[in-house]
Amino acid sequence: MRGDRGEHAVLTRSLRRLAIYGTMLGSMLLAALFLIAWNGWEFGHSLFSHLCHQKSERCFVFGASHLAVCSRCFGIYFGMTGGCAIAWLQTKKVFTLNSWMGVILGICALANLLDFGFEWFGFYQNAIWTRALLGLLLGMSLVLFVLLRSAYPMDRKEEKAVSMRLPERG
Amino acid sequence: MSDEPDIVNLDDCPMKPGLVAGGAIAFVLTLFPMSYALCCLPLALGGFVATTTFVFKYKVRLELKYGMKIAILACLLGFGASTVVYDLVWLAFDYRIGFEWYVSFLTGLADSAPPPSGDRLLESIELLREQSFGIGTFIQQIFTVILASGIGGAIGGALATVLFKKGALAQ
Repeated sequence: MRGDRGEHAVLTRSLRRLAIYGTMLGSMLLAALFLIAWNGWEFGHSLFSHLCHQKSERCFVFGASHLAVCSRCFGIYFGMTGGCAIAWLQTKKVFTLNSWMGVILGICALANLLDFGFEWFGFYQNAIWTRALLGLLLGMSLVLFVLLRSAYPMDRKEEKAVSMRLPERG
Repeated sequence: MSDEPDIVNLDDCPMKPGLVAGGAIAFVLTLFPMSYALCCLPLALGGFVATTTFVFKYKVRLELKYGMKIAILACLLGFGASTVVYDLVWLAFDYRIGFEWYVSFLTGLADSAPPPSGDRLLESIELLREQSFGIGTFIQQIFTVILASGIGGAIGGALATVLFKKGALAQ
């Protein structure tokens, strides 16, 4: 049933807290990436060496050197942080599950895969900004998909708020 | 009416099966050099397998934070173990697993890069070749394991948690 609390109202306090943590950790990660690039810290670049190929012409340049991750990875991290921030800052207490989120995530993942594959096989040459944009869309849709599909037990106050907001059905 | 309880006690569901499955995947994928080319995908896959194994083993629905926790722990175990094996082989036989593949991959990138960045890459390859195992390398590896497992495990665990929901909520 669509009016069921587990399916319909999902942005509970626990999820909002998770979104806050996600925003904070993501911001720290992005700040660390900028600091490492600005100061050209070799130690920082080797920290991220297992997470990304770090090919310099595929990375954004900031200050003394390029970022420690490529533009696509940077886009993904930025999108994930942005997705958490959107979930945290929006004022709606109740979200309706939207099956389109899964489709959007699938399209974003497929777009990244095709972009990577077409370039790998030499069909076309992508640009740093297209990679970053596709990564951003993937990261943001991933976070929103995960947050909107998470089932959380609501406390009494939240249940009351939901029952007041949800329209009566059938 | 179903006999299934509304909430399953998490104390009755040890993490071990999930950690073993996810850790094994993370171990195998990070021991070989493909992990450099695939970004955090190997660890995300390890985390995904860990949480999926847990959900299917106990037929439960997990909270997001718990699903992510299992995945991150599995990645820490798997990636940590592969790093220890890598270091032991390096110290014992002066051989770095997958290093030549990694160097040839980097050299290929340097050849195709424009002169200033290509030269910088070649310099860093030389530095990598001359690198010896020491306390600095070990500390850097610890930070890398924590960082990479945190990011990859969180992504894989979160996805598995929301994609697979079996039975009652585990708390």
